[in-house]
Amino acid sequence: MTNKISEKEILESLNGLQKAEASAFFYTRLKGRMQQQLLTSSAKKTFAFKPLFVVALLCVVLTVNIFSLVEFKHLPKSEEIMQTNKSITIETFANAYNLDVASVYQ
Amino acid sequence: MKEQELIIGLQNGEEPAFAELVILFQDRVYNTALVFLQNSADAEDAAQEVFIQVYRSIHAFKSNSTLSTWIYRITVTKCLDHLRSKKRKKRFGFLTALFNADNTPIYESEDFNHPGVQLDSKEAAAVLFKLMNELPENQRSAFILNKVEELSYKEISAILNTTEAAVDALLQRAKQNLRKKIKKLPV
Repeated sequence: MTNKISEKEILESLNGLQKAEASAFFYTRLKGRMQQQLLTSSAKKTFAFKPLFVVALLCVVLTVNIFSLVEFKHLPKSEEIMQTNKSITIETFANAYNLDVASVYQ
Repeated sequence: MKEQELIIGLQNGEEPAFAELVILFQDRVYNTALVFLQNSADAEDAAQEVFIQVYRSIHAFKSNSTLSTWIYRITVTKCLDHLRSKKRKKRFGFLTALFNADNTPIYESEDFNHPGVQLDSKEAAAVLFKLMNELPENQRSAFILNKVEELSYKEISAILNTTEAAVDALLQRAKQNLRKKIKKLPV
């Protein structure tokens, strides 16, 4: 294909190029697209602020809160757990190394 | 309507001002996009995106540059984004599927024919358009703005945010690269 076309012909092929024109309905299509985008974004926004959606979200949050209150109420507090762990660790350590013996000569 | 009045009208959200802006620039934006994207549907899509972007960010427009320079800058950016996303789709499309959801092939291998090319230059122009796609982005942008839109070095430098000397260098390198690519073409 290119054997007949010279380098000069290729590089100068755009000389005298006439500009392409946009479709006659370009503005109408553009307006339609913009309105569509506006509708979609506002639909998303209105869904987030719908009372039904807000109430449902609130109910879910409250349920999770109540569930966690009821479920974890009987569990010991973190300070108590730490205290117990501390004593267990020290006792275990003392037993393992026979530290309850007063002197090595005994 | 003068440019300043047009800008004020746009910033006030007046529809007649927007309509006038679209009518004033639609052909320039579409023609630039057509040469970058080499597909009329993609070019119309990109041109619409340009005007939506203009509508949204007209409040941020400062009169440091002309409206035309600003719109050309948005056009170049949108077209390059479009090409990058197309390239990405092609790269991953190969791995996943050869067809889109509507069963149309992703790959277009046809030669692009610009409607404004003179009849006796059609074949040569098709080769040039194909080779232009292989140029680096900045060289391609400068080449298109100069050869297709016939903009001056000053205007191109304002659009590409560079100096006139840099535009000249970009054009020289673009021509050199094209010459090299033409020599490598199969005879």
